[in-house]
Amino acid sequence: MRKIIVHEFITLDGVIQAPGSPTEDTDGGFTHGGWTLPYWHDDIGAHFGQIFADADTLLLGRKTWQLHGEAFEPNPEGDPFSGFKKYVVSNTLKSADGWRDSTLISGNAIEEIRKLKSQPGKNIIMDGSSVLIHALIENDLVDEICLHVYPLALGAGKRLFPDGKRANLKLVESVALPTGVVYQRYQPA
Amino acid sequence: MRKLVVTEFVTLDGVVAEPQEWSFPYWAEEIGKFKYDEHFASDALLLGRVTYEGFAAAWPTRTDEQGFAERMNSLPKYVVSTTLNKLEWNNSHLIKENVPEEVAKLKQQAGMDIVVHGCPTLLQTLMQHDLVDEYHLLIYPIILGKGKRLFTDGTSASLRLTESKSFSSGVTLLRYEPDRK
Repeated sequence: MRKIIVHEFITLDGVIQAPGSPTEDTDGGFTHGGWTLPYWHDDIGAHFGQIFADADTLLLGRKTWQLHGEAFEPNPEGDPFSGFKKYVVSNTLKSADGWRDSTLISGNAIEEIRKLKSQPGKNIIMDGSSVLIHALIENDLVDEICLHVYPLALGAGKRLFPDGKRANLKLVESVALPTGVVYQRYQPA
Repeated sequence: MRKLVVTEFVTLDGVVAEPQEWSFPYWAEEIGKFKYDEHFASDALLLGRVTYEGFAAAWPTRTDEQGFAERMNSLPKYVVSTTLNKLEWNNSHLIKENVPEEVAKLKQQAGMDIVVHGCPTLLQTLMQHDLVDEYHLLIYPIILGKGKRLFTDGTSASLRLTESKSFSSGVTLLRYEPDRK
């Protein structure tokens, strides 16, 4: 069975909204976008490299898929997900033409994602996609959570973990970077 | 000037409420050692009402070979509450009003660290007035989905990581100081 690997940039207060730029996601009047930028370290890229090396598929919510697609469809050479199959979960999108190698999942997304996991292949990566991730965590479909934890509390924004879900995890890696970011990997206990 | 140290058991989803309900399965010798060193580097406790009531019910009857409980019972305790009138626990002192000013005064006194355990409500006040000098966060590999969080909505902070260490039971110690640049 393939694994679903979630990667998130996260603050100490659990916020994952708009890590990379001020305009990425301003839902709820969020004004802190781009909060990861001052803490960049090359090891963060290396951690991505490790995650990517064992994966061949990307699973995203609509918003994150659109952001990636807008950035990378016109710029295939700069696309870090080049060669990946992409699945976008949405009940409002009409097609997944906005980014190459994308397939639309609508209707019973959880059932479709279970099927995707049972197909042969390498790991399935998720990033961003706060709405979809809540659904996957609630349904125990996540096999690994990789967190870059930033030394910040923002006081507002979309959170990674859903209300009402209890789960025990096990820590499989913990390493601190010189910029104050801590990389933590967890799997279901 | 003394340091005000906030020490917390925190779940991966940021909950600090009632650690006695979820932290015990992850106990490790190293956590005990850390809590011991923290306790013996301090000579005062600052507590909110809820934590005070829990501690005051538990600690007076405890003893241990290391003298942890004895020190807990003998240290001065500063208790922030607008509703309590009388404090039964030995060497406890009530702070009823002007909390930021009273805490700032305590910090001006000579002495070792002042430690805050738990107390998410009190913590928001301390953070808003930039009174916290160090955070000791023990991050537990569990999500609870409910309960009071360490950082509540509207509380922001910019910190500097000073130490990180993971323990055999899956708990990670993260130490931070405010980034007062």
